[in-house]
Order: sequence, then C-alpha cells, then structure tokens
Amino acid sequence: MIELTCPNAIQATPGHAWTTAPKVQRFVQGFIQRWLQSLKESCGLVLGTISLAGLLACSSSGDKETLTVFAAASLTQAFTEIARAFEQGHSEVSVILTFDGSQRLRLQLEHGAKADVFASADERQMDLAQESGLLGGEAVPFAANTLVVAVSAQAGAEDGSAHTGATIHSLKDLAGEDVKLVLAHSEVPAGRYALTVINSLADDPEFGPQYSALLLANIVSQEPNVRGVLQKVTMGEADAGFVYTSDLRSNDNILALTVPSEANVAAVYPIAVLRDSAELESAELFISFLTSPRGQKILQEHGFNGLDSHNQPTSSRGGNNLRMSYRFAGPKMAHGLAHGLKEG
Amino acid sequence: MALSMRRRFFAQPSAAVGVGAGATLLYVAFIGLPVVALLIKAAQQESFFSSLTSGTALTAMRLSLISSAISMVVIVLVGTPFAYLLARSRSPWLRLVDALVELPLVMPPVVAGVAMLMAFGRRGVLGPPLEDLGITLPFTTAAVILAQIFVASPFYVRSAKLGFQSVATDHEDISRTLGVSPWWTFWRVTIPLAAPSLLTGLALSWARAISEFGATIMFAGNLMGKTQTMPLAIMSAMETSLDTAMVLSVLLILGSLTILVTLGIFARRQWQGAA
Repeated sequence: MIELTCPNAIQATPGHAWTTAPKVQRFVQGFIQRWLQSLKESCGLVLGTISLAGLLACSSSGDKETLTVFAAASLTQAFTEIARAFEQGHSEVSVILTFDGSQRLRLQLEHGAKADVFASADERQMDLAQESGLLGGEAVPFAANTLVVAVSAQAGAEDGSAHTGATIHSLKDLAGEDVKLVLAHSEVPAGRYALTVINSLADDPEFGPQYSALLLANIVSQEPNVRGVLQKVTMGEADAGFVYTSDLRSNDNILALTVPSEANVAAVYPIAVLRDSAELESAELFISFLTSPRGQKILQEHGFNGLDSHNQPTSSRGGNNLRMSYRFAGPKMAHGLAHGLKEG
Repeated sequence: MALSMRRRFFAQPSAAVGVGAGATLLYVAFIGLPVVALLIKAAQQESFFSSLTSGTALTAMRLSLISSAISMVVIVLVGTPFAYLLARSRSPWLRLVDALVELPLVMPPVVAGVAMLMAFGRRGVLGPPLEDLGITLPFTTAAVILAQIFVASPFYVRSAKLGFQSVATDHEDISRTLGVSPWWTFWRVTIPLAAPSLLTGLALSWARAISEFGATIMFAGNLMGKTQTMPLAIMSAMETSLDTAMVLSVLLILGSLTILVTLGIFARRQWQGAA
C-alpha cells in the first residue's frame, strides 16, 4: 500500500510531478516484479520441500499404522517405556501417547477426541467411559498401585529445628498444626483414593476419629492431577501430599511415608479398546503386550504392582474377581510405617 | 494500470464500506459464535439455576470479585503515578523499565506462577525473610491477589502511559503558570484528560485479573473459599461434568462483561466530555 500512495503524493504536487512520476512508477513496477519473482522462487522451494517431506514420510511409514493411546498421568514413565518396547516387537506400528488426568481424557474422548486405547487410573472413569458408549471391548485390569505420603525434604528432615515449617516423621504428624497438605482434587482418582485412605486411617483407633477432620483442615490445595501434588511437595511449598507409590520412582527430592496395607487402597488400572478405533488389531496387540510377562515386568520396574500370579493371593474367589482379590493382595512395600524410603 | 484500478476501487466509499462490513461480520461471527454457543448450551442445562446458585459457584464468584477489586485498587494506586513518570520522563533507564512492564504480557501464566514462587515461595528469594516475619504467601488469598497484580497490571500501565502521553504538556504548563500547584494540576487537568485511557486500561486489566488461572494455580493452589477463584472452580467442575463448568463459565463471562461495559460507558462519556 505504501508503494501505491507514493506516486499519488508526487502527482499531487504540480511542477516536477510529471517528470518524476514515470520514474517512480517504473521503480515500483520493477520492485513488484522482483518481489513476485522471489515469491515464485520461494514458493517452488516450499512446494519442493513439501513433496520431498511427503516422499520421505511415505517411504518411512508407508504401511505403518499409528496407534493412539490415551493414558492416565501416573502411567507417564511406564507407558513411554512400554510403547518403545512394543514398537520394537511390532515394527509396523508406531505408538502415540497422550497423558493427562483420567477424568480429563475421558471427557476429551466423549467430545470426539480420536484414540484407539484408553488406560484409566481407576475403574470409575472407565465405567463412565463405558456408560458413554466409548468402549469397543471389555476393560481389562493390567496394573495396581497404592498410595503413599510424599513428604518434602525439609519437613521430613531428621533435624526438625533446621527450618521454620512443620516437621513430619509419621502419619500422625500430618494432623499437626501448620502442616501444609496437598491432595489431588476429589474427582481425580488420586484425590478420591487419598480421601478413602484418610477415612480408613481415622477408623483405626491408633489415629482416632478426629484424625480425618484434622487432616482435611490442613489441606492447602486440591490439584488438578497427581503430578501437581508431587510438584508442590518437591518444591517444598507444601509439606506433604498423597501420591501413588509409582510416582516416587522418578523423584529423589522427597521422602515417603508408607500407609499400612489395612488402610491403603488398591488402585486398579483398567485398559480398553475404544469403539471408534481404526486399528483394532494393533490395539488388541498392545493390550496383550501390556498383560504379558514383559509388559508386567516394565510396570513393576516403575513401581506398579503387576498382575502376575505370585502377587495374587490364594483366594477361593477365583481369578475373575480381580477387583476384590486386589484388596487383599496388599502393596508390596506397605510394612507399617517405614520412614525415609528415599532421601535426596 | 492495475494499480490505479485498485486505488480507485478503494477510493470509492461504498467499496471501503463493503470491505469493512465484511470484515466486521467475519470478526463478530468468529468471536461471537463460541460465546453464544456456550450461552445456549448452558441455558439448556436442567441444572442451570441450581448450578448457578450452588455454594461452590457463589463462593468462587465472591472470592473472584473481592480479590480482583483489591488488585485493581493496588494497580491504580501504584500504576497511575508510575505510568505518568513513564510518559513524561526521557531517561534511558526508564525506557528499560518500560520494556520490563510488558514482560508479563508475553510470559505464559504458568511461567509467571513459577516466577512468583521463585520470588515469594518458601524456597524463594524473599521466602525465608518473609517467613521470619511470620508471613507465608503461597496458598493464601494474598497469593491470589499478587498473581492477579502480576499478570494484569501491564494492561493498565500501558494504557495509562499512552493516555498521559496524549495529554499535551501545554495544558499542564498553563495550569501551573496560573499558580496552581503541581498536585492539583495533575488531579484537575491531567487525570480528567487522560481519563478515557485510564478507564479503558482499568477495564482490560480487571477482566484479565478475573480470568487469571495459570499463575494462580501455581502460586496460590486451589482451595474452595480461600484460593479457588472462578476460573479454578470451572477447572475443578470440569473434572466432574462439563455441564456445571459451562454454567460457571457463563457466570464468569457475564461478570467480566458487566465490568467491561460499565467502564466502557464511563470511558465514552469522558471522551465526549473531552471533545
């Protein structure tokens, strides 16, 4: 537009206007022509790049399927490794992973997000997905997790006088004054489990009925997912928070207080193929890989309780009632109140 | 010539009006459709009124209004003289400060939240000295207000600075030569002339403070009645059902709209008064 107004302005001043106008016009024309030429060249370059990229993409993944997996945030590290192992065994499939709170993933799926497999951190979100008609098959439990109390390095330090905040050496200390406790939101699986654990502990005469009220009064924030809880404790802004046992594997800056198995929960993780999946076969393969010894081993390495036989109790209920049998299986590391699982 | 043709086309008032109308229509549809769709979908909820008057919604709305009002008082009290100085001073140092003012605008809110924690958090730079004084900021309503001030103040300061720059120094000089004190001049001459810009800035800044989310959840957390403002309540409601979240969103939009429109009307009156 600037080029257009320029000759106009010169024409408006009589006198030398007639002599300079053609010059200016020629200059402008030349400028535009050169500009168009360079545009053409760069266009050609861009088009060439695009077709080249297309060729490369075709040659590398011409017959490659993409399997989209929506998985709970707590599965982040474990599923990343499992996807890599799965891709090694199935070179025709490439796995795309999306992690978030289970409830949010379910909501996204309900509103048209495209995925092939959904792995939830609790059965509630899977049941809701079932009710919405999202599932294309039975939900299969593939792992279990327990809760643990993460304590910030400062609050859990042996020498409590070194800092001004609360000191936490046992589950009872959580009820103390000035403790900053963080939970996941009560709709997030991790938050719901935490409330269950707190209520179970309050039923124990050792803690007393007022325990749950004291703990609830100490809550300073309800985070949108369990990673948020971990983050606030790791940074030392909060003194303690309820997280999954598996979360502590990837974190050195916090201490852990184990929750006794009687009061702990068994968070069962179900996985299912989604109804709208275009890759049903690969989706089934991924799920069977997950429940295979190899997949289970990776999950256990990341702090989950797998579903292999030695972990299950000898129960008269039979194998089809995994949900119940897991209540009794108990977490591997819950032996009373061990303190200082990991120190940073 | 093609060029002159085009020039003539744009010179015609009807063509210019046509282009303007088309652009307006496109813009209004693009911005309006999502908002209208949200209103319609929310109004269709059976639980519309019960969600609207639920404890969570009212508590969050009250907290949002109170915290943002306090933020605005602080922003106006500190931001106005600061913006005036920015507008009048030619110091190169102040120009550096001027660039700094706009930094929160380009920061993602979550980054702003992390930065606030690094400054005022327990392990932050000012955390330990503050703790010695018995002040802990994270997870408090004060943290909500600080986060709002951080992200929302640039909108006010920018607009106020431009407003003060548009006030010719002649007016102030004349006032002072007539024996009026600098303070009184500022109050009776400069402020009224810059008022439309100040009000516009205040409206934008307030709307930004009310909708603040990222820095708040990082720095202040999410607890009903204490740090759970409307955007955080919407996020929490969304974990349960999108329906409740939609109703709360409508409430938030109506609240922000009321502020924008009211201040807009005041600003327009000031414009007309000045003209």
